[in-house]
Amino acid sequence: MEKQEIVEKINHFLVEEFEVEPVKINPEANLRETLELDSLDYIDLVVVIESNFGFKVKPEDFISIATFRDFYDYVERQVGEKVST
Amino acid sequence: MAGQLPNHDITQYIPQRPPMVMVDELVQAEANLAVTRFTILPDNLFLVSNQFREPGLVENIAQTVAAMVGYHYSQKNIPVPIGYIAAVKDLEIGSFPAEGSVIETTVMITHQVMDVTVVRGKVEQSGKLICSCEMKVVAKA
Repeated sequence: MEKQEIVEKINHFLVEEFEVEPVKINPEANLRETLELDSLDYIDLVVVIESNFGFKVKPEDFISIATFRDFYDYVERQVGEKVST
Repeated sequence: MAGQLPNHDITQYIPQRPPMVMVDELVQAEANLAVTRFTILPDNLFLVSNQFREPGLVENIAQTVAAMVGYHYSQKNIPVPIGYIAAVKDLEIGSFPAEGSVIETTVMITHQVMDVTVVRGKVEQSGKLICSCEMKVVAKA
């Protein structure tokens, strides 16, 4: 899966599932603040990622994710690892 | 453990006690799926105008999750954790079963994230889907 396809897929479910305004989706924006995530939203986010990209998310993975760009990069890495194994 | 189960007292698997018990029988218990059966008696707490209403249906799904978890823990002789409903999402109710109805409820674990179990639940009456939702349940030992 190409990076652009991953980004579009993520942006699509952020708008559809998390009701994020498309104009607020910016690679440098803070993910948590933009999405106004509470603990249950995190669970939803994990569920959506696992359902859409087919890999298991470890909760600690989120520690290093601050911006949307970090999030895209994380998913891209995990999808790449899944393909290579 | 799979398939049909012996008709044990379901309260050995769940923490609720009458009049809050909303499942009668654990019909099937797989690793990620369980089925219960429940007859809605005239003295049920959640009957309104002879209809088993929303809180009863949601509690019935939650207790089916509890019965599945309780069954598997009891098989391993491990103390059963207490579960709490954390969230209910996409709740759809087609109809309210009437007093005297028998409902069959299926839950399937779709995701496990830390202490949170995400399940899809559905309630059927005579094979017809009457209620479904996604439920998040938090388990604390």
